[in-house]
Amino acid sequence: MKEQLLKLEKEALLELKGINDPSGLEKFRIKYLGKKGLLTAGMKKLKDLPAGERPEAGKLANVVKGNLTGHFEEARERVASGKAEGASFLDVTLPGREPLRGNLHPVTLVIKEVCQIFSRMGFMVVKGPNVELDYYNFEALNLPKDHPARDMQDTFYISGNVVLRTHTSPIQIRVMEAKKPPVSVIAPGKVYRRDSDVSHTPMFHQVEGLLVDKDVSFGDLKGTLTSFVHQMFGSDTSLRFRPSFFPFTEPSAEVDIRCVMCGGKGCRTCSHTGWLEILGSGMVDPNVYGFVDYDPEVYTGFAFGMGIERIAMLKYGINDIQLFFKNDMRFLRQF
Amino acid sequence: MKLTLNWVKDYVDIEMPPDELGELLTMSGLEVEGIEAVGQGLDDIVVAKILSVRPHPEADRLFMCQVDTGGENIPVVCGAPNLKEGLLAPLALPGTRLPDGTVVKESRIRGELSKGILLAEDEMGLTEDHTGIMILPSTLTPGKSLPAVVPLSDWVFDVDITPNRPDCASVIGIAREIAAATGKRLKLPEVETEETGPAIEGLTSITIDDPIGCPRYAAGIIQGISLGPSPFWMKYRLYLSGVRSINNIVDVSNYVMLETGQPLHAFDYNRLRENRIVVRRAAEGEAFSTLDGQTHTLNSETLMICDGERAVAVAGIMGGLNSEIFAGTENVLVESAIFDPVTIRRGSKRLGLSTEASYRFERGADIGGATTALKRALLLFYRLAGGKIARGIIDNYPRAHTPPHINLRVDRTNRFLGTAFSRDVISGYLGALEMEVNNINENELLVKPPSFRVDIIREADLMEEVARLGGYDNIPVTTPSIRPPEEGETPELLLRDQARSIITGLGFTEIITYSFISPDSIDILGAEKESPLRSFVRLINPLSVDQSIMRTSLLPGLLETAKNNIFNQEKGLKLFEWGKLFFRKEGEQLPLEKIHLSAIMTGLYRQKSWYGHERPVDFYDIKGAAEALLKGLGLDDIDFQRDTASAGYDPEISAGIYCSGSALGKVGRVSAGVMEAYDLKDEGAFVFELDIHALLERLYKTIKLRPFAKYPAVYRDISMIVDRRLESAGIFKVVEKEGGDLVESVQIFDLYEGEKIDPSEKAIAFRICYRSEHGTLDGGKVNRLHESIIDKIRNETGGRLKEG
Repeated sequence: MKEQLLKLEKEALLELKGINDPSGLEKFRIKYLGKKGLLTAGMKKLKDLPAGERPEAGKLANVVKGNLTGHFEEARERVASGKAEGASFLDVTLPGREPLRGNLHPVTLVIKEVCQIFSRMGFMVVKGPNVELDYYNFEALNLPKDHPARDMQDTFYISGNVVLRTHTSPIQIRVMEAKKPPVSVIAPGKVYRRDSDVSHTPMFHQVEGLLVDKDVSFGDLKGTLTSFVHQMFGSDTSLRFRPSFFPFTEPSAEVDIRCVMCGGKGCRTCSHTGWLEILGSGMVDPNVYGFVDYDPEVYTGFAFGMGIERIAMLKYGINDIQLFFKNDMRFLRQF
Repeated sequence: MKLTLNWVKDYVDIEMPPDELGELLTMSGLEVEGIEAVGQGLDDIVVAKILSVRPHPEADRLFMCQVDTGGENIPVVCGAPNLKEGLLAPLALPGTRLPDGTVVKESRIRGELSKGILLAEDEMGLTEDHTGIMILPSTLTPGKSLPAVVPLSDWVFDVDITPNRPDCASVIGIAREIAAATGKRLKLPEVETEETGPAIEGLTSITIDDPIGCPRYAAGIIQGISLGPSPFWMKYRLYLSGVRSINNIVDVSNYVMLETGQPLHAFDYNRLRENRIVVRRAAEGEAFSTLDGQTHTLNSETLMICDGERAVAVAGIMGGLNSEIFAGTENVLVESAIFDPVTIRRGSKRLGLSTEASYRFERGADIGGATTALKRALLLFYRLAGGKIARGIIDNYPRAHTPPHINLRVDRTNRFLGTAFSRDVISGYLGALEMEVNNINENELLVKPPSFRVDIIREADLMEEVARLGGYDNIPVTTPSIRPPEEGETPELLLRDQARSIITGLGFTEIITYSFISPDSIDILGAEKESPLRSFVRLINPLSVDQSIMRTSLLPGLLETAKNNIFNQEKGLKLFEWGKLFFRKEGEQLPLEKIHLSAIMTGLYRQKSWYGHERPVDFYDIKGAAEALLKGLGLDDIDFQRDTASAGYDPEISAGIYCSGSALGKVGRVSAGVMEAYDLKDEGAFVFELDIHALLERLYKTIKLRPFAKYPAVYRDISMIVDRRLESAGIFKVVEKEGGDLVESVQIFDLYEGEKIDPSEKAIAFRICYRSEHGTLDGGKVNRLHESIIDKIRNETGGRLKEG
């Protein structure tokens, strides 16, 4: 009995290998696995065996059946998958079985690109908390309480002393507190300002950069940021540095690029100035070094920060900042 | 700050066109945000003389005038209250287009012919004055084009003044910057007056009780003025600068403030009790009514200007109703004082009053310029309102200004900026900014900044001025040598990039939602009282209740986003967010910030297509996604366990995600109540959440290559009927335990629950892959092992082999 079953199995498997079409499969199924098939017939004979041999033979019959069924299913898949390719006419224009692909958010894409550019220059990516002490967000950045420059940013408060960071600049202080120069870091993250209208969202993203070492000059600041602008916006992008004010840098400079929309002729995007403000920067103010115990006579450095949504808007031609946080698939799918 | 080009030109010669001037200001740090041409398009408006005024027979408020348009007399119907025979006024003849776009036509007004319109200032877009027709100087000739005889054409510059430059919040301040940048001379306005009144000492006295709050208080008096409207030129400049015209006295105070940057305040001298001024702190709880009609309760932090008996103004912020200039004012005391920036800022914040004056005092007014501004105001009072200026001024100056003495090193400046300026060039730049510069030696300068430059205290501040005057664009571009970092980036950042690329590869799209959410959304998730979801931190000043707490879960953002997209007819969403959660920490000021990665799937897993039917998403889709992600990140010992109920999840269709016993997150169907709340009932929503910190702790494993299998595998299938509630992991465990090293893998290839079998049971079929590392397996040996595995499963699970 046992030998018969194994022989049956062997024959069946051999036969199955040669089958390439559905009708052959069906014939096979009826011959071996059908209600009147060979295997079923064999199993029916089990009851004729002596009682002692029956359990073992029964088990074996089941194993053979399971095995044949498994191979039969495989063969069926093999034949089925050959159908589209092997048929008389292949419609190559029929859409492929395309797996669904997801997209990264445009803010993520721009942050990645910005960080990659600075990483290549030797800056290391670091992070800091979103909920910050007043000390890090303002005080140590040379923004004492009762300073009018605090009006430049509307702040969300958690308590009198704890705020949602209004910029990524507190990371500068945290980095310098933790480490002696040289320091070269780039820090992306969310920032929050209590402002919501057509051109403002209460949360947005910035990337902060800081380089402090011996003999870092304003010329180095210009060189680093010029290289960044050329990598980010194209090597033919003209840019300019113009004096500005940030409490934690002195001198401070805004960086403008030639309007990417009008090429400098003047349009709505650039408020008819031909220039677009994309970066704030400056040499680290000596008062800031006082807070982190760096000697301003020995070390100098520069810091910069940029709004990611703004860059994404320029890069992708997005005209409404609100779109970033509505997360509409019609928007997200385009990146 | 808004200012007009013609005004600036009073103090410095400007030859370049307005847009070039705008560029020059922007590049020197005074960013010009807009330049607007004003007083344009008025060429067709003519000077007309009113010859006669008669009442309109059919209308009480209208008049019929005959006007001389320079050779021709025409009838004009007009309703202005200030019509008078002999006055000159602007006139628009038929065909003239006015700034608001209307074209003047000959018409009949209540039956009377009118061949033109006599114009008020607002109708020509000049000021907002509509109290009557604009009255022109009587010296003009009728018939002339208005812009040819009255200067109207001008440019308004909107300049963004940074907080460090209060000196530039004035027309002279801007002119001074232009002078420094162009090498032109600054022409300061006339201030000397003829003082024909009595000596001021006999008229008033100034007492400063708080010299910290008020380091200087100067005052002058003019008697016998005639209060009235200001002349057009002043109204026009004020209007273009964004200041409303009130009367000649108040207008002069504002005009001189805009001109010099020094805030002034005019008191009605007769209303000052005892005719004197005392500067002191307010009494706690003192009530005071400001000019705008509001009544404030003060505290001892607020600095007040008082007369002999009571407060008359909030120092540096706003005057009081009780002493303001009014129709009956004859004598005026004008204040030109300096107040402490911090005191004014606190007072302004406390009272919720921000004014042109407080803006300038907060940033720092020019302590050296107080008396000049005062004299300038007195001169203009006299010119516009007549009267007699009292002899002398009072100048109470308890804390005299000493300029900082700053040493500037030439070599350090050049090293810091990356420049090669000589000492004399640097000295020249600083001199152009009215700094007193002395050479100490070849390399060092001693610099004393003028009193209006409150921002210059240190060497770095001077270096900035050198860079500014030299021109940022002229500083050579260099490349810093950056030393490579000593350590790598944090594992979190590496993981983030990896996770993002895997999960987008799995078809999920990234969303970014606000970190603040509504407290209601935590209630909707059904978080219990002790749930960590409730240990959130609140914003003191949220924009709305909907954004008033820092999120403790990414689910509300995902659910809300799903809802909004489904509303836009999106089917089959797969979204994820990587973001921070914020949990209150007892005894700590800052909350704990935890990173989570969460994802949602809704609606159809697969749309109907030529190769398959559509199918709704189910638990195993989201679970599979979580498994693929975790495996992709390098975790292979993950297991899923039926868990205690979690906020937001269906307790029957959810599981905890574990790795070697520690919890990594959750996966499952969103509970019916939550789906209801977010209108997701019809679609169905499944989510997973992963705690990235927990995941990072499990990710220490490094990859070590294993040799490939050398010998062939043998497959055996089993089909069983088992209890419907039996977990497949139980069967897997038996197989692995019984099969030992020879079992390479187990795969479930069929599962059936339904009408063909008993409802308490399910059919499950799986394939075991047997393989040995040591040699080809013998069929008989495998069969024996396979059978013993089947026996074991039967014994341990109560299942039986499926028949047929």
